[in-house]
Amino acid sequence: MSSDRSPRARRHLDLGFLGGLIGYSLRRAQLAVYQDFFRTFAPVGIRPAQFAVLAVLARNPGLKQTEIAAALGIKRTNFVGLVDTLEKRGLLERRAGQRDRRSSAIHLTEAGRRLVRRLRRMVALHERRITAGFDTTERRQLLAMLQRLASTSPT
Amino acid sequence: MLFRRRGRNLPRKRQHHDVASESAEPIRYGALEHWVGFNLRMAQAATFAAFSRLSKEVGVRPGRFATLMLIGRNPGISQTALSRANGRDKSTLTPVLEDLVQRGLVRRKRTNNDRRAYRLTLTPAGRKLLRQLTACARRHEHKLDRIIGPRDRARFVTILRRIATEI
Repeated sequence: MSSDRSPRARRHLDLGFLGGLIGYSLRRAQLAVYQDFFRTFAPVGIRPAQFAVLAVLARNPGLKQTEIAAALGIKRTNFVGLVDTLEKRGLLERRAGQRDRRSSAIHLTEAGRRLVRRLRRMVALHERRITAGFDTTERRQLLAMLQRLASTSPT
Repeated sequence: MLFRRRGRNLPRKRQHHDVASESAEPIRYGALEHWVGFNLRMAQAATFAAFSRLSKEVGVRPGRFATLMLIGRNPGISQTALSRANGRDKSTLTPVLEDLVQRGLVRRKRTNNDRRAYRLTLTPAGRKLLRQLTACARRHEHKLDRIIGPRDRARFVTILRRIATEI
């Protein structure tokens, strides 16, 4: 394995025009960040998407499932299972809606709020690792560009 | 500035909801709004969805593009080198390669000195598909270019690459 990592082995690899693509660079950066996030949160058994849901709920108690899923760009089919898991762990609760389960309002439990506070501290460390070596301006520019891209329409 | 998903998602969501949620307030993202990790994921999800529309036109999943490109540019590449170049672990890559081999796009050849190692090359059909996907990628990239702007492009890619390699 160590010989594979030598600079010579790297130089021999041709990325074609992938290396200069915004789309591909985004994917690679996202993959790396996701892996770091995954490692950071493995001890508490929380995946990135679960964290995002908990964090959004902490700020918006009583949201409906469909609203959270839309806000975070999570497919509804995956979302039901995600909420089920968090509910079973006692981190959130559904409060019955008028019609069906999907319309029920979701709230964090006390345990959920406690966990979010703890996760926030862990995320701060993870964020510092991601942006190590960036100054404030670079960080701001990066965020602005990412936000512009996030509103790309899929057509 | 409030980070919000704009564009196509919002109106669609509105249409989907009925009168009951008309008064719904915009979602507050809290600290998420300022986190690079979260914004990266949202940006990647949106652009990936856009690219997958294009790649579906040629009948392939978007993630296959990089794999085909890397094999096309590095004929005879090993699975280990490919997974490292693509930033994916081997267990994720194996089913992708199975699929590409089964569809006659990639050829796998055992090496002489190590029976477990494979050398990967594209078949003519794989090369043809790669050309089509490359055209898709150029169209897609052109669109992203317009969003980022020529002035910021190089800096943006450099920052992303730094994140991918230094983390």
